[in-house]
Amino acid sequence: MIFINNVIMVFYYILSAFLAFLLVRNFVQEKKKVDDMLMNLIVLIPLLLRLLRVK
Amino acid sequence: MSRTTLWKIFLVAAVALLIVATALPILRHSRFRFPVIAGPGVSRVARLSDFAPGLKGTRADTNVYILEGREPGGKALMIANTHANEPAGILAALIFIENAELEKGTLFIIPNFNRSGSLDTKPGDGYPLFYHLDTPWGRKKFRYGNRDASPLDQWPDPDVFIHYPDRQLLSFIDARNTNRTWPGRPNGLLMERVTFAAMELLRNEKVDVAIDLHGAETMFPVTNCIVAPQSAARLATRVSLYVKARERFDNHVEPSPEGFRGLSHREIADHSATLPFLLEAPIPFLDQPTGPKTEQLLLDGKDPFLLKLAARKKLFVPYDESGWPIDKRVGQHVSVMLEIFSQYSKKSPERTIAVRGVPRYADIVKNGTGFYYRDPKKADASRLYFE
Repeated sequence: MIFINNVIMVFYYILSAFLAFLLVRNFVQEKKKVDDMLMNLIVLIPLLLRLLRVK
Repeated sequence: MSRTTLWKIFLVAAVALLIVATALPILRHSRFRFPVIAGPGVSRVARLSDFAPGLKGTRADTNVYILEGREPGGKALMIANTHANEPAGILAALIFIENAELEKGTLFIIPNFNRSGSLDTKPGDGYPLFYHLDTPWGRKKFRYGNRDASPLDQWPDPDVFIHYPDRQLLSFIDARNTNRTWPGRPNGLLMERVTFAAMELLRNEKVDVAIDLHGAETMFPVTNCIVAPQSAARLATRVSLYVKARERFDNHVEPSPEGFRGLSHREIADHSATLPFLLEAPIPFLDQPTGPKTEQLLLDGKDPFLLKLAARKKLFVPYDESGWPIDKRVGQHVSVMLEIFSQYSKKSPERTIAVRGVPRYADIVKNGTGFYYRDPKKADASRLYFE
């Protein structure tokens, strides 16, 4: 059980990093809609906080 | 520079500011350590991982202050911060660490039992990050923690926490609650390893008495009491009667439920020869129907909504305009512990635990808890520890 927990935890960090990468890419590629730029950044916040092990 | 680029720079700056403004206080909180001075009675400071290596190198490993008497006698373990949002326990434990001397016996003190939980907070409930106590040399700052271990240290949570070894189904959150994971196991979840290490300490050191310090809501029936299993009930009753008669405060006895698993008072009794006690002091801050969760409410326990509820007899403790000050709660814990040692020593003279240098309830209420903390600036660096 502990092994599976650890695998899920590592997978979660990888998933967070991957989603963060997609959000940053979407933000950079967005050319017109300011709303979408902001949305990408806001969704990024909890993923960044977890990756940095703040919260 | 294009209009889009300007917008992007502005948005990144605004969100970065938001992250810094919200995350920095949390980061500061988790990295803050307050000094503890090993008093004249502390003969050495061990780590909990010394008793079970599964904790070594984790954020859950914690200090064990050991006070050894001049003469052999009985042994006691004091655990505080099992729930790191119930501060009377750690404040009482620090009074012992900084002042107590053992004439007979040995005292093990773990002031920060759920260390991982103490590094976390609960911003959604508006918890203050820190609280302060006045001392003769200035204000001493403490970190205010959370009830459960941090998800940064133990994650993911299960859908249902299956208690080991009884397989009772408990709430998922209790997987991170060090008062549900007793007796623990050496290779289990991190919090099971914490309680297992404490069980190893109890069993290997042949500890006579274990005391787990807590706080409970005034609207919760198990508050202002000593929780004890059948094996310790007689002693707990004597303690309750003595503090009522001599020190004029109530601390009734609650039986440890046999069918509710994972609690310290239940599992220590069932898995070792130690007599366990769990002390609950009222903490109005944790009641749901209160005003803002401020540092002041945490320390003085005064709340107008609880006052109204008290008038309608909805609380399980006496409550008036004076609230439930932290000094009263700490004083109760300290006096009840001293009385447990005293009564146990009377019952088993060959296993006496004789403590001196520790104030009692009336002294702490009169002088304040901070009065009994030493100035870290004047302490020998070799006696200085950080929690």
